[in-house]
Amino acid sequence: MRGIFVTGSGAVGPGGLGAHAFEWRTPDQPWKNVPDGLPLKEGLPPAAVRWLDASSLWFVNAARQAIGEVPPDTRSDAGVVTGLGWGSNPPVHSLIRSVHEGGFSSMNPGLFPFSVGNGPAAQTGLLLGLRGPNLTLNGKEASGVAALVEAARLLDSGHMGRCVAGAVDHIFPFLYGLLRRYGAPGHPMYGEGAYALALAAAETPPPGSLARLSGWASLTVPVPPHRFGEAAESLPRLAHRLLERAGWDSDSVDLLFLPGDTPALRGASEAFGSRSFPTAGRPAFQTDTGLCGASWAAAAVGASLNIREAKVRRALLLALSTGGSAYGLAIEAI
Amino acid sequence: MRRRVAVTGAGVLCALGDGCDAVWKNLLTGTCGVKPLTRFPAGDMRSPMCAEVVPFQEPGCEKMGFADTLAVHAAREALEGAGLNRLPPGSGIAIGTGVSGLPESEVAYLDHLGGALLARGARTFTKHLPATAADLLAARFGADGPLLSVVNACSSSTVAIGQAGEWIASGECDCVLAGASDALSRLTLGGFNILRVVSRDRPRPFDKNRSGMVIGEGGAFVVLESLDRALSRGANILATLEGMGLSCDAHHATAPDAEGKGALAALRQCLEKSGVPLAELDHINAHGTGTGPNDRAEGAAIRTFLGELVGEVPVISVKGAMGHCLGAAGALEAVVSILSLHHQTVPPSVGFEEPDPDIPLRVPREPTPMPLRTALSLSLAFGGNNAAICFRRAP
Repeated sequence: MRGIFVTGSGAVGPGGLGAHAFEWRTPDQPWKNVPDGLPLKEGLPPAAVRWLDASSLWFVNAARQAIGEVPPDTRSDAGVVTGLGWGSNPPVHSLIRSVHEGGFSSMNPGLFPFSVGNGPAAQTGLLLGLRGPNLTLNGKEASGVAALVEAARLLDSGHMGRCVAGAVDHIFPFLYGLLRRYGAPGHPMYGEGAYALALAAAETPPPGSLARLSGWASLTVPVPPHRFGEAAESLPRLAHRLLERAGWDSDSVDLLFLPGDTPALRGASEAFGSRSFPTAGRPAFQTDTGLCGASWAAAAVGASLNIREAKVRRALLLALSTGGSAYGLAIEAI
Repeated sequence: MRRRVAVTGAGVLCALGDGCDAVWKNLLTGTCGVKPLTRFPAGDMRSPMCAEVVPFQEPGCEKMGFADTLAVHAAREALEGAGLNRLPPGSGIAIGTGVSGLPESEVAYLDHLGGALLARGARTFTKHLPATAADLLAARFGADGPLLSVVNACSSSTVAIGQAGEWIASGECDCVLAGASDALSRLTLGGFNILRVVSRDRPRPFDKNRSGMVIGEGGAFVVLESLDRALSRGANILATLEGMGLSCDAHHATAPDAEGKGALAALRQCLEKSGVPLAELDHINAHGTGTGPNDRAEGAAIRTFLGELVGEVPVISVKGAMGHCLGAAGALEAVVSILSLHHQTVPPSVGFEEPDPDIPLRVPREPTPMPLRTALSLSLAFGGNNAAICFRRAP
């Protein structure tokens, strides 16, 4: 029976590249930032990366780690699905600043393409030769899982046979100031980075596969756009749908990823997790990687790596975003 | 088993008019909605030409961003056309956008640069998030199924509508409100001007003397339902959505591949997924921005795609009439494609007067009544993100 398999993973995060991305080492920074000096441009055409913004550079790197040794001539129909949280704002702000200081004629034409939301996905397709479907979406705080859910749907419908899917977010001083002034108190420290999984639809697991996607789902319980809403309603509905689609019992879940963006949400998630999945481990991934739109993609990478290393067999990801959307993923060992 | 998808409602608002009837009527008469910018000072922009939306009223949207208000207005018309006050349980929302709340957040950022630190409050910046529109529509019209907010630049809404169709076809949900809105902003008007691709006159897609694109704004939505559900409740079916094709040029950040290979791949996948033989494709609503290289590349793709049928299948672009509405363009063009099938008439490609010998397509200058079984809408975006969706005349 045809399935969707995780064939690779990639990460660019506060600790560096790959598995190091999850190791944050500089506690004196105001947010969990991707460190300078990483070899992100190595192996990429210099002219092509000259104007590349941080988000695009990070996602390209996460994607090429995930794709790994897949020969270029087999990539032509591979797709890219990228989730953005806050999006790539530095080019936007730089261009607006130009207008403020010198008028429209002073805008930098080289920056304009990177002010568009699909920059990271488009650059990934361009630099890695991926000519299949190329999709960027915004799922706010849950963008990482939202992207993986839509990637699974496009693989399932046959619009692509393989893809790289994940999310990227970039924090910068203006945004940090905004979040610090108006963001929810008691949240985990903000972060940034890019995390991606390589996925393939196949009758049998491709060689080297890490895990299988056994289920995916999304729904919404509408609330005002800036509020999280009732996790006590969303999480059970989402979990029920996911378990049904994956064919799992709740007590077979080893790892349960729950949202903890605010103290209230963390409390509601804990209560739900303790009640419905009492034996499942509950990683504090948003604390480990830093809070951003890419956090949930980090969770998916983390889950896949744990499954590959045989630490767990089944992981359930239940993500919520402000506005009431909920996205879920079930990942299990092959 | 894949289910068929019906279009039961459509709504539109743009420079050509407010509502499907007004837009269709003005398209047929060759009206051009392009005028000099009035929304904010054009300053030293190379060209002040744009396609501002006509004045309209939408109560209850005073706190929303302008793009979100456009979305609510167009979505409401679509739902009313479908005979629905609210979406049925389990319904989804799929939207596309280019700039979302940028018109408001860039003003707030300009204030900030001028020393008025966050004077307009944080909400002005949260409106910047593309997913906000879907949240607002879900709350207003009662969706509790999947939500999707596509940020694929100029192909955003074609992707959103196509993926909404896939949700229904796969059984993920029975009904989806799908579409897009986009509003004029300093960043986009200034940005396209600095790239020197904006016409100082008007857009003339595929015309020999075309001189560039013109940015527009607007909103367009469709109500998609499973065909079985639409038939069982006696809905007025405008068309059916048959399938979607997606591809990436992987060629350049802004410029298309000169041979249109990426667009060709999207076109072919669209027909394959739709199960429509090429001989049954009767009309293409092209991307057609009116720029030199883009129209040429797209023309090459369509020519290769149609083969021997290139002289028979009419190809139009509505951007000559309503401007290029960025993320909303695909949804506007989808609605026009649906109206074309509904009225069995291909509207004129407004702005087209003299054929370009390098683009040998059949581009009508007048309204063309003709039997139309199918219509395909093609969108090509920055970064080479291509999308195509195919509609069939209502059964």
